[in-house]
Amino acid sequence: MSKQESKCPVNSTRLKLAFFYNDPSKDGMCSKCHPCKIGVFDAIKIIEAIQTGQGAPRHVALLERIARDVKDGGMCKKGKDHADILAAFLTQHKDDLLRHVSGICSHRECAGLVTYEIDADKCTMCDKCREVCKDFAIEGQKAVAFKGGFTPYRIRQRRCTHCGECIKVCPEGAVIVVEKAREQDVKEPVRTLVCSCDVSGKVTGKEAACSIHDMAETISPGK
Amino acid sequence: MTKKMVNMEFDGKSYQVPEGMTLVDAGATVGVHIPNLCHIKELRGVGACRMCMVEIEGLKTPVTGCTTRTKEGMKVQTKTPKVEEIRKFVTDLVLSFHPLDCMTCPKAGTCDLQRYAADLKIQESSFGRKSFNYPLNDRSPFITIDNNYCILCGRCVRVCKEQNTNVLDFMGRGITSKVSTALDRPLHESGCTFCGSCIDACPVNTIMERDRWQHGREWDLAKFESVCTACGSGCSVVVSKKDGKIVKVNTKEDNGYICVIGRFGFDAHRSANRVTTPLKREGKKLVPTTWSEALKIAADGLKKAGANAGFIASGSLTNEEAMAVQSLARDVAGSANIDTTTSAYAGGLISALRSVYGDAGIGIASQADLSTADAVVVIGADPSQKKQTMQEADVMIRRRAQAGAKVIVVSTEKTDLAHHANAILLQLKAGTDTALLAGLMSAAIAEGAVPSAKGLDALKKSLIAVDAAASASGVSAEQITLAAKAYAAAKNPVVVIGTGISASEEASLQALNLALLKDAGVLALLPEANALGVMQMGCLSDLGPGFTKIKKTGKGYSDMRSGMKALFIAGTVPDADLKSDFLVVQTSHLTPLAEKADVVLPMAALYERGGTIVTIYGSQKTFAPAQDPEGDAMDGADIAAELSSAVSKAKGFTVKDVTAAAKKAKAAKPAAAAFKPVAAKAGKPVSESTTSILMALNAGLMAQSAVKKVLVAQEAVAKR
Repeated sequence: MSKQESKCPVNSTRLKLAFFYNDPSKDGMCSKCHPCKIGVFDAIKIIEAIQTGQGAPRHVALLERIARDVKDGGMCKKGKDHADILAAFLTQHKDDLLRHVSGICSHRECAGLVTYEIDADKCTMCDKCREVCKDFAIEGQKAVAFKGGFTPYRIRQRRCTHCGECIKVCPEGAVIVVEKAREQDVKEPVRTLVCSCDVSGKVTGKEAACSIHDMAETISPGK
Repeated sequence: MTKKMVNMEFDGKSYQVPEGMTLVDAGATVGVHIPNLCHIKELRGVGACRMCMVEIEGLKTPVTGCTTRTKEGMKVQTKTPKVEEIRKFVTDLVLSFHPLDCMTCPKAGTCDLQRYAADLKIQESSFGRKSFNYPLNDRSPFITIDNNYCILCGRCVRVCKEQNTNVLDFMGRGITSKVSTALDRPLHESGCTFCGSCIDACPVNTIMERDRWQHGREWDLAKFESVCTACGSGCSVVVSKKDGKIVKVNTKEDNGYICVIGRFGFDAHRSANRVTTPLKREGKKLVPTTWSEALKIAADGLKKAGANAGFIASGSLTNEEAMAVQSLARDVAGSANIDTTTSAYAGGLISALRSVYGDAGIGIASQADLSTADAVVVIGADPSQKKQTMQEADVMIRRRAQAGAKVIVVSTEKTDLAHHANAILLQLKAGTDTALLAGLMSAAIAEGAVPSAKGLDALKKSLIAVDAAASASGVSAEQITLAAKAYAAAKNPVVVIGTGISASEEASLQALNLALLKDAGVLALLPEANALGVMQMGCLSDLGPGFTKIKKTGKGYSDMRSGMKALFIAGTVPDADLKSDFLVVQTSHLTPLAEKADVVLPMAALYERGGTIVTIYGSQKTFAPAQDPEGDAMDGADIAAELSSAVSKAKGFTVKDVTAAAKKAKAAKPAAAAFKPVAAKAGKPVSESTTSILMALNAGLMAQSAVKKVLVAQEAVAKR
């Protein structure tokens, strides 16, 4: 299977399928029958979407459908085996998948669902992470002995690509991975009370609570 | 031979279907449609699209209908929830990367994907929309490939491989694979013959006729069934017209074949060299004239020559036209000099057929059925895609070879057919056909071939041993024995005789003997559309309608070639150097011969003609004109009828008479065949090239057509 190891079941399933799909050798996909060649491709794309935080509950249903129909409709054993891998993932790690859909990668591997941050308490300001960061996402000043007033190290989230190089290089383990709480796709409309008076314009409750009707009264030509 | 029928059930109803057929094809014969995107009728199924999944009682999982063959007692369920779900899944996936452009798509209405999406109630794909932004490949003439619409079914690739053009293939893998030519070159630079089989095969609008876009939707087109008369195959076609103009031409059968002339040659109807009005000679020039004047000049000339007038009916005339020419010559003009062009290059074969099967035996050349043949002996013929000769026969033979039939090629050169894996090539020295075939026959008799025809003993005496044949012909003895084994073992062999030997009587006789040895079907690959029909109508110097004997024998084609008082030529003939004091040419396009004529009578061309023809396979095809003739052109039978009344008011005939006479002129049953022993020695090599005959026959049609330009460009590329 895939040569990369991954603890996150979502990520490892994607890697297995992608390895099968992209492998140009004899063990790879023959791309002869439609369910396998397009179905597996779609499964990879769906998992990718989930991993980047664009997951939705319907994606789980689609993955289940792909797993079932590639198994039923595929031509060869190799394709059906990979449908089985997907199906096994869906039964064994359903909760994990659902957590991913809601934006949490508890294994902190799916780059789109986490942020990298620097723990200021552990950071010794050695500047190794800033040197290694190819995306110039880390800023800060190296600490020099007997001097003070340095800017602390921090990661600019916009630039960070979650490549993981800074984690490898940090001697103190100060770079930490934090699960990103996902923004909700559909925001509840904020209900704001405009006016509590009835249609007639009479203020029923508290006196002069309604600015709109106050205005109306001033504009209204009748009065 | 009829196939064995078996009883089986589709969806609980019992049907009788042929044994060993794929389920999709078998279902189609009884009206049960099994959805499929990648299957082509009678081609080997690959099971790629998985739309044809069916459930069979006793099997655990669904199987593909295009790779499973019918068996006695099979119970097939085509609409279970499980297979319906797979179909929906596949259609859903395919729709996810197929642009939903049905509103402007020229294929809408006949698109398979559209049909199944509607059947399976899928509006839009539930999977993510994917687009690849491939550039439109319109760099080639006639055919465009738009990979954005491709659903990767592979029909075009398979149909191209099956007929040995090998132009299209998949490039890349997975969903990003793409139908393309080698190195993504334009089609005309990669050996494409522009037969357009891929257009008919494509279920969507990926591969289309180049000028199809915005030339009418499917339901705007008026469809006419017709027959292409450009070569001997006489392919059935469907001509689609919009506003009186031909938009496209397709094959009639699902898995049929038509070549580039049949499919794209219709532009010749309006080309510059088309004869639209009668022409008469004034000095060195041909000038337009009226029908009455042209007919008068022609009639006067023919009357003046009287019995010395000659009549040549081209082999591509319809039965009615040929019968009209025959009556015009024998009954009206009182001349016995009538012949057909077929005698020029297949004279030996005609006389051989007559001596073996009797006079009526000329029609026997059509008793072969290639669709069931399990061994095909191709003698002196080179049907080929690449050379653009008799491509339809080439495809049919190849389909049999693909199904396991042995193809024995007897030729002086390594033909395209000989490259097939199932082909056995006997490459002989020119003129040694009789010797080689004698050796082949003696080997076949030694292998146990038992003929039913008479005269075997006499034949045996004339045969020579394999070694003698090998040394005479230059073919190795093992190769001859190998071919003889394959031939002796065959159940339904077919002997194909081409123009390579058809001019020689001895070689043709020997080929017929070979056929009789196994009671094989004989297929004469005559390049002209209605060669058999024209002969049956009596356009032979010594036989009347229906191969009956006539009182007076006239001059044949070769005699007439040397010079006549007057010559009436109906249709196109391969020769351009016929000598005559007075020449009337009835033609659709201005050929080199017509330019020399005294009177040119405009005739209806390709799809403007109607009538009956007898193809080389012996099937009689009746068709109506798909289009009105261009300008003042008339049907050949009309012209001959008008001319007959111009020659003689009393003896003149009408088209009705001719049609009735043509129907009556049926060939009698051929006599019981007997072997005609031929001395097995090397003769003078006489070989006519089918390619050059066809080129000459269609020269007028092709001269200004875009087809010609493509073929010329292709030759230039091949030479480079």
